[in-house]
Amino acid sequence: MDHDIDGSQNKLGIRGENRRRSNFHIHLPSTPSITTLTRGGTSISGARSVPVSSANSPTEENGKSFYLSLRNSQYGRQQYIPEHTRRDVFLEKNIGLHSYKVGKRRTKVIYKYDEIFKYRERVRATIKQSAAHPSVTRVFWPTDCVPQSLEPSVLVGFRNSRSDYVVIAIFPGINITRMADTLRGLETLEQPLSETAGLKGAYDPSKLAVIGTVNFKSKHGLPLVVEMSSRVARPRFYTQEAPTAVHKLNGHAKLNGEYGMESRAMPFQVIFYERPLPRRLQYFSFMPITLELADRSSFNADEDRKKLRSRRVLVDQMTKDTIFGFPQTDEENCINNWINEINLSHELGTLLENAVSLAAVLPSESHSLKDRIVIGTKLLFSKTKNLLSFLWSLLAMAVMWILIGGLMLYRVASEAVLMIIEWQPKSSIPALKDISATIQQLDLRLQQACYWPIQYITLRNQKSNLFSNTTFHPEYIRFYNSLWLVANDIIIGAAVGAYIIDNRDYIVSFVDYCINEILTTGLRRTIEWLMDWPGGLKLNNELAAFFGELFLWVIEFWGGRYLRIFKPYLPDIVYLIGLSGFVGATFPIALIADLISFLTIQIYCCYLASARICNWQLTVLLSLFHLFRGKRRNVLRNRIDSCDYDLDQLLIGTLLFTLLTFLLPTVLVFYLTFACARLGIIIINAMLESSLALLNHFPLFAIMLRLKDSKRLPGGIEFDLVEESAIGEENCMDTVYIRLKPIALPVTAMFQQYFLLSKRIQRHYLSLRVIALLLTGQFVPIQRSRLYSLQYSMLPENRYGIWELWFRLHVFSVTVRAEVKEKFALITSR
Amino acid sequence: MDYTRFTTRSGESYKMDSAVMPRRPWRKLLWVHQPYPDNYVDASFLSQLKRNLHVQQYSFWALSSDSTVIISHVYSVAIFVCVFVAIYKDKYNPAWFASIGSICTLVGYFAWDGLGEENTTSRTATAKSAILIVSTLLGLSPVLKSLTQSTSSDSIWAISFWLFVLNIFFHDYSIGSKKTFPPTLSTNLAIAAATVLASRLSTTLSVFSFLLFSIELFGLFPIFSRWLRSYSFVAHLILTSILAVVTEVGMFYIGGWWALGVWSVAILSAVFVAPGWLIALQKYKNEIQGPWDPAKPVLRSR
Repeated sequence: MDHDIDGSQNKLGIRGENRRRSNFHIHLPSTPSITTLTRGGTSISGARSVPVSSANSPTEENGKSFYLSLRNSQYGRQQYIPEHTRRDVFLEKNIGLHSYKVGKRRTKVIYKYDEIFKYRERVRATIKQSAAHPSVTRVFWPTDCVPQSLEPSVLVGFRNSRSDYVVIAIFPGINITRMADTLRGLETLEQPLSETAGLKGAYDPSKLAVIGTVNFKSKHGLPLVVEMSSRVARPRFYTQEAPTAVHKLNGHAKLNGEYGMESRAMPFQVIFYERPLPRRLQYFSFMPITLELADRSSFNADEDRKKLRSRRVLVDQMTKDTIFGFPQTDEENCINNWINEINLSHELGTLLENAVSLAAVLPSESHSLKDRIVIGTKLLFSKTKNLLSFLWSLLAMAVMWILIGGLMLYRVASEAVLMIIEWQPKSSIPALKDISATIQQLDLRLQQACYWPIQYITLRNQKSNLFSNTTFHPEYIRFYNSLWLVANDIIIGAAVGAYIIDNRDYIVSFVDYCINEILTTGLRRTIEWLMDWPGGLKLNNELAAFFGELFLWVIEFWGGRYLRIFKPYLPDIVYLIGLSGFVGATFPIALIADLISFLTIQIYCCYLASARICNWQLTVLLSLFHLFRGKRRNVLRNRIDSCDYDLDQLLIGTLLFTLLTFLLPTVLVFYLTFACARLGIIIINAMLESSLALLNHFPLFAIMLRLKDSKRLPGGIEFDLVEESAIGEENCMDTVYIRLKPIALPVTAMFQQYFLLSKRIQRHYLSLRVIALLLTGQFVPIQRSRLYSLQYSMLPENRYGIWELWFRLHVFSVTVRAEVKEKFALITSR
Repeated sequence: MDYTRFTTRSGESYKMDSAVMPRRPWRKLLWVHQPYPDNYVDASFLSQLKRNLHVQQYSFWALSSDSTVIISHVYSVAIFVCVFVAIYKDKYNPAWFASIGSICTLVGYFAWDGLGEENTTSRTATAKSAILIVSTLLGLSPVLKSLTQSTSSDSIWAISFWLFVLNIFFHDYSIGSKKTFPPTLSTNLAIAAATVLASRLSTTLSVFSFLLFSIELFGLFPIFSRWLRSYSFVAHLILTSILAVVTEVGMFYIGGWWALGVWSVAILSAVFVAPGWLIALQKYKNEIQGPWDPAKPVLRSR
């Protein structure tokens, strides 16, 4: 966890980075600003003393106690960190619950009890204190809906607690009772507002209320009394009585005497926010948006996932005791609640505004208030009204039926292909898609195409409900990203394909040259060189001749006999590769990768044979070396024991040991040559395949969104200190102005998958272990499935079956039909 | 009792204190609280010092007769080298050496078998392993012949020289009777040296004969000679003198008078001069034992 104290910025930013729960950045406000805030908060109430210089005070801020200071300071005791993160990170880093990696798998947890006790005591004290005296009244204030003229207005919003308000809309020119009636009316409809499809469960209707007024002259019982001198001025908060009604005689003394002891006389904390526009898919989020699917989001290799999981389980188990088990209060989890309410604010505000204005427009004598509201909301929800749209939707329905038929046909066909591709006769035999890059690419495209209809239906269902529901935004981005990537792929592919077809002759001659000069003649020359004391190395003549002739035969067999059959078809093959470009640039690339693998099979065979021989020889040498020293490997105890050998064993063993030692350089030279050749081919293929990964997975749409409207890709929230109000006017409350801003998803988080991939490639192919494996002639596995999990990270783990698709399409068609019917009824009713 | 505080840095304060109050004499007991500084050294400290407690006095003839054990192994290495040179220079038919070696081995085996103690391995098992080794040698000889063709002779000489030096150092020279085989390492080193040398020979027959001879010399002969010296030391001395004669003859044939002279001088000095020198050096011996040494546990015999 990073927590930097930055004096120049005055920021309290909380940003969950990536999906890794442990990477949270807390930008603490600078120490002086907090202390001044605290002082400001205590001076008005006078009688109440906040322990400014207690052990928990922010002035002795350091890494260990910043949570406590957050709880205790002006910002209240709300936890700004989600619970799981708080536990994991905080326990591990700050309290002394340290988890260590021990050996390969096990995790060890160490308690430091004194620190735990200190922590517990502090937390309890803080909770007790802040529950008794909430130190601030917090108001979330939308900056984008302040009315044009400064006529008296009503504040509508959520009343979360006695000291916690979220204003969602400001209605000018309406009186309080009428606004309250409207709100009540919306909840007493046949289908109350909070029970309509999109809003069900989204908020607590009992919290939505008229919570205050702006520039009202008269007295009322609402908690917020606000004065604004101009549109851009900051709202000033007053005590219950309007400023005009205050005695002007006694000034401060009187004020303190009257209100000082009251709990209402708390300082105000105004947090400005700009309401996110749900129609533009903007929203606030505490956790960064995940661009991968949830079940794929831990793209980490299996062992990483296991390790993380085991660590989490262990930490959970270790903290299941009374020391850590203090209860979580609502206040501690309230940040998610705020964000939810803020996300709802715009749409809910618009709904209310419409309801109010419609209720005002309709003639009041013919309808009761309730009827007016009913009609108003009905009009509100019926978005299309005319005949044209009815005809249009009729046409759309017809097209939809054709499309559904086509989709089902396609789905059955692709299922058949996928079954062939993924068929594994035995678990040891790899499936077709694991062997060939082209087939893998085909598999990916088919699976994507199977998933698109389902994604589309999900998106459409969401769209017809409510935009403020933020769960479908990542799905939206994923859907359009994959569509866009495929379109891009086809455009690039057309260009590449045309280029290949135009330059066919040149490419054919180049491939021919490669086959002749590099794969046949070049290899033969290398082996002949190896047979003849390469670089002055004194190899064993007989053995080198034997190996050389063996490998030469393999190369001649493949290059001379089979590639000669293959050569006449080369122009056609190149033409085919060019044509495949029109399906997407990924296909020529995958085909080229496969072609390279096919043309170099003889190198692979030689590599396998020489590696086997080399490994065998090294193993024998090792055990004979033990014999030479009079030792023996004890397999049961996994150690070296001393051993009394028989004389004949000793003699023959020593003879063989000497023999194999002198033959080792010859074997090693041949092996290393083929290993290098193999490594080169692997590197070429890896480059081709990483370009495949780029074409298939690049977060194009996300980057575009980031540039166009970064609020659509939230990566966290940030608090910014705007101003502290001066205490000038009587009855005016001390107020601290803070701005809440969304943090855009950092670009590095978008490319997180690529970082992980490169890290994994590094671990699998550039580590000491791999070098050791290579040198000892052991097989270096290429875990294709691991490398390719990136490609599949936008797809669900198990693809949706045919019946599932059919069922969803059916439900979808039923809803569409119902919509059309509804429109028809609307037309006929007019 | 309230003790005066002692400063450990200067002797002055200590003396002043001792002048003021008479004290008990210092005792060598850690668990008693004494009025002395931690680093106090009593005058009685060195009284228990002992010198050269475990030094033995050697007799010249005993040393000189024991050195023949080493000498006999050096002789066998020298004989081996002579045989290699003889075969390498094509002076003699290699089969001769193999047959002489085999006859000697058979004689030795029967002597060991007849005179000796109870046999741990049966004769059929011995015959079986003999046949196995001989046939393996026959099979491997052609491969061994070409093994180091591309390596230069100088490196081969160097390798075999160091292998023999290590062999002489790791050889088991114990006199008591043990039934185990000679230590594996020295045998393996000698066989490896023999294999490396054998790969320089030109014909398959010579490789085979040479390796057979070397196996007899380094694999079997040490067992016999160790049994012999535990059986009777006189017989060991007789064997050593036979070896000496054979070696001298070999040296003469290989290197002429010059080699014979150098070799004789070296051997004589090892047998007669070196023990005298060791005895002469005994007077410089200075071992110190005292109460500060870690205590040695006294083990009672069972």
